[in-house]
Parts: sequence; structure tokens; C-alpha cells
Amino acid sequence: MAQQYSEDQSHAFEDQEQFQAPPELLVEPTPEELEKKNKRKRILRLVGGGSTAFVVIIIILMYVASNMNTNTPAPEPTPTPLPAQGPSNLRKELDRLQGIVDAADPVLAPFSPPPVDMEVEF
Amino acid sequence: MKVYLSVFFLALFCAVGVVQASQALDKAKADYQYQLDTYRSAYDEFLLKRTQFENTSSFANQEEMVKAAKDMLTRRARVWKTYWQVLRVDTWETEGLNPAMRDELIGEIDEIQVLLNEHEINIPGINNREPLLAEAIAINLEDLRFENSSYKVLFELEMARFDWAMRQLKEFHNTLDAAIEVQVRSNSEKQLKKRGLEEVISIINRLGEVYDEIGEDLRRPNKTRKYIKIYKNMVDELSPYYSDMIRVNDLLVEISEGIEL
Repeated sequence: MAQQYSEDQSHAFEDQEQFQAPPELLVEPTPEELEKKNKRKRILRLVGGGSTAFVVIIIILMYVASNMNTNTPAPEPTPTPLPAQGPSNLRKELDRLQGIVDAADPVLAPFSPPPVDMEVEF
Repeated sequence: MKVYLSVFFLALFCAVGVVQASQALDKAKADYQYQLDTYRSAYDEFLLKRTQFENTSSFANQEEMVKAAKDMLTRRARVWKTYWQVLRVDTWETEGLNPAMRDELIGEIDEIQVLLNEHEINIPGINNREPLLAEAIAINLEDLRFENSSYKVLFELEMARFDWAMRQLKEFHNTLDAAIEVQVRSNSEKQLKKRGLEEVISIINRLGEVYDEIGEDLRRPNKTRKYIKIYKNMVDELSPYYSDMIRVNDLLVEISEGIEL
């Protein structure tokens, strides 16, 4: 049995030689290479995490901005020009007022009595 | 339908009435001017005939002079009559005049018109120099009363017009205030217009106080009651405040910008 086993094992070991990994993978990395690798991993982790955080912050900022009341007033709507239909009521009223104020001028030449002085002797 | 037609015709009647009222004043003034022009020609003719009579005191020249004097006196009476007609129409049309004062002024004018009518009726029947001279002297003496009465009318009409103008400006201010509340949405613009209105009402109130003081002072009973002096004092005292009234009017026009009534 032991002999059979060892004969079987030798066969097994013979097969093993065909499926062996390439030599470079079998070589243990040096400390410098390991360090470089770890550094690369750290950077990648940092950037990936930062990107996510950046996007999250942007989303939060957008949400806050949309709900904020700014002090800047909304632009006034452009007034619609009045249709050309003649003077409005307001214009007529202002003209009427103007006429009343003009007539109230105390310095306006009064309608004085007629200049009809006559020489009564004849 | 009947109600609408009635309202339409009533509005039309009122509009026609307003137009006719101002036309009546224009016509009265035109009549007065015509009579004044014909009186001046008649007076020049009378002076010419009088000079001829003074140079050559013939019966014919005296007759010519008397005829010219009668014509002159008739036209003179018509000048006064048309003048009082102008003041009568103006008194009716002046807005804001106290009804009791209007009645008083119209009553005085009508009395004077009766006197002038009598004078005009008398003249054609007088053909001699001396009675004609007496008639001329009598009516000439009335001129002082006519002058005083005319300045009384002018004084009251001017005071009424000034008061009416102040009241109309105040009323427009109130209407504008309400319109601003409804129409102006921008808070900053609303505040700006309201500040303007505060200035307006402040000036009007001050004007009102000054006007009441001036009126009280001028109407205080005095012995002479020379209305020509009262009228001139009124013009001197009110005219500086007229510039405030113009300022109020200009402010209201400015504040009205962008408002529709």
C-alpha cells in the first residue's frame, strides 16, 4: 500500500509540473515594491472616496441653494405698454386737475370793471 | 334696457350742459368786448360833437352833441350790462362757491342790472341837454358802487377757486393712495410713492391752514369795505402759496406714473 501510494504520488507530482504558475508570480515582492503598491492603493482609495464626497457635497449645496431666500428681489415684469386708444381716465383726471389749479392762480388778470370813465360835462 | 337708455341720455345731457356752460361764458365775454368797442367809437364821436358845439354854439351843433351824448350813454349802459352778465355767468359756473354766497352775489348783480335797464330805457326819451346831463351824472355816480361790487364778486370767486383746487387735489390724493395699495406690488416702489403722498398731504394741510387764516383776516368786518383793496390784499397774500399748489399738482403727476385709475 505504501509503495502504491508513493507510486501514485509520484504520478501526481509528475502532473503538477505541467500546471505550475509562471516564475514571476512565484517570486516574493521586494519591500520597495510592496511599499509602492500599498501607496498606489492608498491613493486610489483616497481619490475614490473623495469623489464620492465631492458629489455628495455638491448635491447638498444644490439642495440648500434652491431653498434659500436671497435678498435680491425678483426682476420686475416688463410692464405691458398701454394700447393706443386715446387718453386714459387717469390722464383725463390729471388734465382736469391741471385746469383747476391753473384757474386758481390769484395773479391771473381779473375781469376788471370796464374802463368807461367819461367827461360828464356837456 | 330702459334703465340703460335713461342713464345714457342723462349722461349726454350733463355733458352737453357742461360744454354749454363754458360756451355761455365765452359768449358773454365776446358780447362785452363788442359793446366796449362800440362804446369807445361812440365816445370819440361825442367828444368831436362837443368840441364843434363849443367852437360854434349853434342850435344844430347842440342837437348833434345831444344826439351823440345819448348814443354814448346808451352804449355805456350796455357795456356795464354785458360786464355784469359775464360776472353772473362766472358766478354760476365757479365750482366750490358756497351756495349762500352765490345767491348773495347773483342778487347784487341782478339789482345792478335792473338799475342799468332803467337807465337805458330812460335815455331815448330825454331830448334836452340839461335833463340828459342830470341822467349822465346820476349814472356816473353809480360807477363807484359798481366797481366795489365787481371786486367783491371777483374776490369771492377767486377764494372759491383756490379752495376748490385744494379740495380736488386732496381728493385725488386719496384716490391715488387707494390705487397704489392695489396696483403697486413692489414694496420698495410702494414705499417711495407713499412717501411722496405724505409730502403731498402735508403741503395741502398747511395750505388749508394758511387759506383759512387769510380768509378770516380779509373778511373781518371793517368800516370802509373797499373791495378793490381787499381783492388786491388777497392776491398779495395768496400768490406765494400758489407755488405750493403747483408743487402738489406736479408731485401727484409724478406719483401717478404707472398707475391706472
